[in-house]
Amino acid sequence: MTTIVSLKLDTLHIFDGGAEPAANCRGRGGRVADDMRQVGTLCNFDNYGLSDTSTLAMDKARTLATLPPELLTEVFHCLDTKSLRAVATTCRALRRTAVPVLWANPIIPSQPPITLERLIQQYGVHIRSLSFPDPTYIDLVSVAPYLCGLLRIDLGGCAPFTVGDQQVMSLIACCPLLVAIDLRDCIDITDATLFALAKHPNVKFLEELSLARCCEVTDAGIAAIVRAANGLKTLNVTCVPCLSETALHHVAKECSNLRVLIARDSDAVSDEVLLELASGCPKLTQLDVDECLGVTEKGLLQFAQVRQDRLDEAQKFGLPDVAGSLSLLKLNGTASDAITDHSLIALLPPIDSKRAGTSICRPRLDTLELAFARHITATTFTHLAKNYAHQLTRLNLSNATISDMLSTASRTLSDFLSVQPHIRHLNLMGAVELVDDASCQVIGQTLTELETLDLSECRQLTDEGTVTIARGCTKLIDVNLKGCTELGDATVRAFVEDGSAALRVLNVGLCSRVTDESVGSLASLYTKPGGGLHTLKLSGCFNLTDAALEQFINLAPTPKSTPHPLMPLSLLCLSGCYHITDNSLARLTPHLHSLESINFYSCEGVTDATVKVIAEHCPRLQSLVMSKCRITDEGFEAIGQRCSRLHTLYAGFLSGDGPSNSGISSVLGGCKELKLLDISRCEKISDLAFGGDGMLQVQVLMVRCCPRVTFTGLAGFVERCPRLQKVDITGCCGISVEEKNQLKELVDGRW
Amino acid sequence: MPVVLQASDNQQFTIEKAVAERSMLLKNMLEDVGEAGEPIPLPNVAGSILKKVIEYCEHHKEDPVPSAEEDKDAFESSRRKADDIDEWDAQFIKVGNEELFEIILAANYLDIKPLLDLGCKTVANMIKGKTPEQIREMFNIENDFTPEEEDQIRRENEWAADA
Repeated sequence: MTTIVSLKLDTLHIFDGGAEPAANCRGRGGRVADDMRQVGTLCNFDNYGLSDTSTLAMDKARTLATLPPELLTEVFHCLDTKSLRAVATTCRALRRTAVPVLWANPIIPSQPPITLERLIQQYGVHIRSLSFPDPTYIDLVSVAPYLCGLLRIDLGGCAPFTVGDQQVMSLIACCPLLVAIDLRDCIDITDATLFALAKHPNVKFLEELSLARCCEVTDAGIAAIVRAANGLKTLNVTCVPCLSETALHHVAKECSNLRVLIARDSDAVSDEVLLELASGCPKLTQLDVDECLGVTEKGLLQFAQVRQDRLDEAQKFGLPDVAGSLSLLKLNGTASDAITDHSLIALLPPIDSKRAGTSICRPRLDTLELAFARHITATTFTHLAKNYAHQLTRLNLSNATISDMLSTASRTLSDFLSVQPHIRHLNLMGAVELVDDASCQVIGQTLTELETLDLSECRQLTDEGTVTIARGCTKLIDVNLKGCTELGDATVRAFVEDGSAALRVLNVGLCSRVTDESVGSLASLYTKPGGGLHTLKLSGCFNLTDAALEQFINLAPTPKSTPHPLMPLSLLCLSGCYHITDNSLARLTPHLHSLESINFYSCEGVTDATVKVIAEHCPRLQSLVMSKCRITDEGFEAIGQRCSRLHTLYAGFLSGDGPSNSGISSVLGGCKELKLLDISRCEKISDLAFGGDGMLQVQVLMVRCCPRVTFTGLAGFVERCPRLQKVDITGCCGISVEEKNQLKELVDGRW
Repeated sequence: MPVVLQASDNQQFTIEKAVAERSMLLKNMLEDVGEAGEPIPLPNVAGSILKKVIEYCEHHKEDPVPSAEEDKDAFESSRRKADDIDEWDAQFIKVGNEELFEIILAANYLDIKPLLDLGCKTVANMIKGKTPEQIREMFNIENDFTPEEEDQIRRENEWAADA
């Protein structure tokens, strides 16, 4: 019997008898119906819905059920769905054969009355791991009793403000087996949840806990949970503003099993805390303290020294389970004078060959991230190349410099990269001094496993370097070349002709030398099996014209055929490509069924015609940037009627007359999930635009330069938007200075 | 050279080789054993059914034998068109349920694909458009679901029903 082990809204992992994943069926967009079908197709439903499989006692005349299953299957294949379902309802034996045939046919109607809650009520007991890749509304209280077998829960993808203490506490009460709880971004969670979790009878089995950005959580909550859950191996307290050093002091005291600590952008991390962690958590192998400004070079040196002492001690007395080195070190944006040759070499000490073969756990150095590092020299890289060669899979040196003679900086990087052939993720954004065509040659020749590459803002790169990368790194999925202003058609063509078949994301923004010819050829990626971009960013490529999109349009199917499987483009950015007009966009967008985000900022030739097509054909649209285009009420009304998932709408400084009140209220009435609305300089609108009933989710409203909007209208709007954080009223001459302050108080007062 | 078939009840039938070769099983068997003239025993098939099967093969002995590939394609496409049954076949297959199932089993055993298809399509046509209760009655099926299971299936059918 196959069991659903992991259920994600867009991904189903089906494990057969606990072995390797037997199938992993992806289908972005997360309509529950699609998933239902996948459940049905992939699972072996042999006992589904039946408590007993043995009954087949028909001694009378030969009946249908006496035909062997393979012949019944032949018969059932001749049936329509309705009849098949009738057969499946007659008796157990026929049901066993009919259900797989039933599921093999696509039977889900377009609008099935099925909810995620019902799906979980039906299959919940088989679910071991649950997560939500897309923002999801789910009533956790009602489904909790069905999730009794759950081991891992990730609530980070739940829609904002839907997960509170009550929801998590009912889940905790119903799931006795939980070992991993991810509450990142559940900003309503308070210490109450942690107190409840601490009292859970099986809390000692809890291994992973993430509280990233849970801004209500305090030291007291952390103290309670770490005291109870002393088996904790992974803790994430990134950006929890209320935490102080006390919280991590408790962690160091209680969590002797801790392997992974993630505490980015946290005031709780200080030199003293690092010292305590070094002695209290000797098994720590992953340390992520990005943007922790309280860390100094001295703190890192002490941390390294204490760990080294613990290690020596452990070896002397044969203590097991002490980490010999780090596998992950992230110091992105930490106080730049903390990251020096001295501290890095201490943190990543030489591998002592005499110690090899002892029981000391010595993981390979997998991840090294040192963005904004300013004080490291070639010494560090020579040391790392010698001791940690062939280990890294992830390296981030964005905005970093190697403070030797500038002339040798890129050489140092090239030499280092040439001994790290397993790097899969490389970020050199803005590392202007480190990256030149020569280092690109090394990347193209050595890093053949590379999947994501960020070289944005490396201005001195030319096509010569990037073409080598395109040809050499044949596994690339995501490439960012934004702001490499010297690059042109040759680079794009190299990606199309000789590049990775897996390429999904390409950003050539601000590469203004790129022309229609090469951009058009990107369309041919969709003709390769499973190929084609999901994200294409061309912002600021101002030489592009409608002709660039012509090849994409030609690829598209005739109007009668089904949604085109070859056009999975979900994000298209044409910001500032001001030659692009309705002539291409209104013809292309009907084929972009997966479109989630589109940006044609400042394309004045784009009008209501395109917006109406998008509203009609792109049901997944979440973000629309149409500022400075020629849009009127007609476009706004289409958005209000069709774009129910929209959460971001930039529509400021429009050309022409812009919308009136009715256009704006149509958007506010129809787009119930809207979080950001920019309608700056819509001169026709007045307070009436914000009238209407019902609460809204808007968090940010920009109404700059709207002369007819007054305090009364906005105060009413603030009332309707309990989540509102910011109202930008710069240049609204209908509002006095005093009223502006009053409005600011109204909004800020809640937070 | 005629071929002699012997049914489970020892009834013997003498038929032309071309007729016997409509059955892939017999065709392969004849190739293997050569022309020994001995009766070929078919212990799974009763005389009355074998007679029907031979009648079918006689009628279709002139049909071209599809190659394995075409056969597959033809079969695939036949799945979608359950109702296009030729007139002679339709008359031929007008038999009682029990005999129909026996013919299907025999066609499967003897590996006579077109006859198997005909049988399956016929059964499918009998099922089409019927309610579960009508199907049970027609094929003498006993409802062995518990009330809880029935309830669950009913609910499941509800959401799956085409809107």
